[in-house]
Amino acid sequence: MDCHDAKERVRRERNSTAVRRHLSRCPDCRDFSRDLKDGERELSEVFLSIPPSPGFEERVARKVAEREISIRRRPRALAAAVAAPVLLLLLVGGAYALFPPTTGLPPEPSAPVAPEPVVTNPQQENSLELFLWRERSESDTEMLARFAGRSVAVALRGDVETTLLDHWVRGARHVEMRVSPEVPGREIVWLIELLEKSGFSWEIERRK
Amino acid sequence: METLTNLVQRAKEGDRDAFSLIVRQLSRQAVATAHLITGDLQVGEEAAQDAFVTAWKKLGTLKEPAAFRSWFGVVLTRIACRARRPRREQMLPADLSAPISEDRSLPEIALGLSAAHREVLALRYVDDLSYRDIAGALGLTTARVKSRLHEARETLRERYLRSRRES
Repeated sequence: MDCHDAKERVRRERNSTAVRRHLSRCPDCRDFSRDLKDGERELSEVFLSIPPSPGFEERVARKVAEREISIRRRPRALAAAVAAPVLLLLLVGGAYALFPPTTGLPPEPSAPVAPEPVVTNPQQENSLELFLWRERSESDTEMLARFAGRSVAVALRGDVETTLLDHWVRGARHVEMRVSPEVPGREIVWLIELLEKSGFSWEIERRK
Repeated sequence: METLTNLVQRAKEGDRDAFSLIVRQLSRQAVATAHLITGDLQVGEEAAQDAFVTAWKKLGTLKEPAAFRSWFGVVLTRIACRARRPRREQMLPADLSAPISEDRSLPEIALGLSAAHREVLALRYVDDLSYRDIAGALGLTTARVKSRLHEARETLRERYLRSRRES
């Protein structure tokens, strides 16, 4: 092995027998190998010698604690959002039953009531398909028409929050996201965090 | 002192104090790695902080507590790569990205490398991950990791030695 080979191999297989044998005989290559090692060690030591700024661990602990609090609060907030209109309906309905409005006319004969439509596809009921664009366009609206009811195009955070709350109330617990390429990564990260905080399971597909 | 694996097991069961001890053990290495990946100490520190919070959040998905170190490396790398601010040098080939001045220190030289080179150097020499874990974190093959690491070391070495000679 000549010095050129040794220098090439010392970078890749420093501990091979052939390399070590050459290094034991050649002071120039030994220096080369030592410089290489020093550079790597120094790199690691230099970066590791910079401590995190004071209070780093406390800041992490605080963020972890804040996250736990927000998870605990979220279901309560959602429950309150559901409970308020239900309570209002009960109060209005109860008042109506107790004090029916009188018209002075004889009561009409009761008519048969059409049954409520029944959702037969539980998958459709429990999952929500979200299409994410940076800006809405005509073609989005066309595509949405094909997925009427369970798909939502969202471009704004406010839209997303309202949509999720709405579907949470209706029982959706799973979200499939189709994300167009121009949506910035931070928006997706934000959405995933929101989904997880709200207890949704999720799948994501980046559209081409 | 309790082992990292035991602490991870306790943290997985919801023990926040155990997680705080994990943060204490790994914070310096995490900040150093993210510093080198992002090229900026403050951005790196924020990335490391986010990585710990994400790790706590996702800890339930980690099956093997013993694999925490490499799993956390992946989390940290992804967050640090995302946090990296766009810099002109990242658009340029490595050999053009950082002009060499005469008296630059090793960290300055390392921070002047291309983003791709900084990533592999950080994960290998600061975070101490295996080739396989680095490949997983960066979405590369092991062979590509080795060759990129070789290029990075070579560039670093040449610049470092040139800087020492010139000073």
